[in-house]
Amino acid sequence: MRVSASNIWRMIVSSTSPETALEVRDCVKRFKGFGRNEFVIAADSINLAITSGTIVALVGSNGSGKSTLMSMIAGSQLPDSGRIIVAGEDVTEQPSWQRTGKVALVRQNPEHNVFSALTIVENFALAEAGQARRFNLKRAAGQRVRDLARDTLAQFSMGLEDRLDQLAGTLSGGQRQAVSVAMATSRNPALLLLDEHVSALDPTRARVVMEQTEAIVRQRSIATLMVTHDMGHALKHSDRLILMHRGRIAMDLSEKEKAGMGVPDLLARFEKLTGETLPDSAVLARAS
Amino acid sequence: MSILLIGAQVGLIYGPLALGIYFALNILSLPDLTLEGSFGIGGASTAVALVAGLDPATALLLGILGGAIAGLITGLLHVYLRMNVLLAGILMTTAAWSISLAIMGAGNISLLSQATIFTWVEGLGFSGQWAAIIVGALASGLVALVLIWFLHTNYGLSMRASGLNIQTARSFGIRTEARQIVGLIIANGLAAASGALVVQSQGFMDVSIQTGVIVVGLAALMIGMSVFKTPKIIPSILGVLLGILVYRVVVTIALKLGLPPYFVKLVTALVVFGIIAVRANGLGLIAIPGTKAAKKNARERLEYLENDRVVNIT
Repeated sequence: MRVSASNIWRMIVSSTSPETALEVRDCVKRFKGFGRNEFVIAADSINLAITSGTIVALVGSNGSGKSTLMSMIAGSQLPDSGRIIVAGEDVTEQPSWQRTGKVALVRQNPEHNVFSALTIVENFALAEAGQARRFNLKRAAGQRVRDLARDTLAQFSMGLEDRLDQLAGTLSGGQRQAVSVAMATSRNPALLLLDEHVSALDPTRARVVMEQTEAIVRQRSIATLMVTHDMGHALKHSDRLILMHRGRIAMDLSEKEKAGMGVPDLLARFEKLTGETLPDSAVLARAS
Repeated sequence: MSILLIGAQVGLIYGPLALGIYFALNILSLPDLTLEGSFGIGGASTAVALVAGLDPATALLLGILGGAIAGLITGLLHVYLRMNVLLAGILMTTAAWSISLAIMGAGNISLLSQATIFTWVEGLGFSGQWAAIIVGALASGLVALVLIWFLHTNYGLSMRASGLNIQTARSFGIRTEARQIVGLIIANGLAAASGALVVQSQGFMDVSIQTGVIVVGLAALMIGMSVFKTPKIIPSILGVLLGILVYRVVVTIALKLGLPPYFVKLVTALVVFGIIAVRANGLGLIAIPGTKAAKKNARERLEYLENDRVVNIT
């Protein structure tokens, strides 16, 4: 048998346990700075594995590389080197639209998660068709999609299930995020990415959406990587906590290690490790 | 009444063009100027096909095909050469002038002795004016119905999504570049359909018919979008068709009032200016300085100036 680099790589990938929802191997991403040969390293040889069914919180200060990592996993940015494997499949070179069957992403800005100019049920129809990438010439918002949307939205107890034919633009930010989470989880992805999905909401709405998100994710056992600036959320709603700093993973706490840890303990630990302070939205909110 | 009939007679065959512009601008969010060139190519192709002895329906289909190919090229320029759609459209329209002349082999072609879709309908016992109204209404109505159906299918919905937000659409599993290319093919096919119908209706093809024709469709779009201010498909499409009628009626009235025909383009531009002025300013435009309405208008203008002025065309 001819042993080529790609063959070796295929063997490595196929040996990945199916229990691993996400594996990031040696991922590097550099951006060009303003200077002629100046580069900013946003991701510096990141290695990360997430097992199926676990919720991992990802925290870190601005510019630490969280968003770059999320974008590389979702496919909107390609790593300079390294591999990204989702549910045993190497997706490194796949465009984002080919990854939707495996990866679902909910962004911070509600405007970027739902189409405001389409009705709620039309948004669901798109999510449904996109899951199988079957965009055919059948009527989009049929009874099956309506039933699916109604059932999924009912979980949030926001009355959204009765507003299927309204434009998504008429919903509040919190309601749109609820619709986004409902759409993302209804597709049963191997991996759910939450990129500060409640940070644009008021504290009460943020709590409701966060709690419902966790309940649905746990019930469907979807591996989740969640970026947040709220250390309270990061500790409370996750099984594992990862802290990024200057493009690297600086701290990785298992459920056991973070048990009993409070927000001040976490902040103190970060400060000790990096010599910098971590902005926490909860602390900032209390201070104001 | 006669003004309304003249408006319908001249206007309805421009329905597919207006809907093509609506499709490119509102559905795909692509400011595609190729539509103007496709109108000419559609006219040239249908004229040559008729002279070659093909039947009027086949000639119309060939015209549509010509425009669709122009749309395909613009789409490929945008996706593969990474060219801005506006620039690609300007270049394609410039090229379309030569292409139309090359197709025709002459500056103009007379179709007086050829059968057209319009002479077919006249053969059923209708007058020339009613034949034009019937063909125009059928063409516009058929295109409108097909678009309404299409834009409510899974594929059509994915096309609307691509025009609303590319990144979000891609995260929904939509290959947006494919939607843009297919969308430009459809929009330009529609513009070419109008070009082919206009040529068959007037009985001759002249390469200059394409010049400035996009403004006719834009005027209809502006009027239509001002009537029903909604992103919903059915009212928008009906609004565009209503817009083309209103626009033609205004032009007919202007001509009846004694304006010379070469003022038609000036009237068109004034109609569009007027609509935008009323839509943006309302009655504030003519409010007496110092009144509440004038102050409100001044405040709104200041907000407009303070903001990022990348304004949607419609």
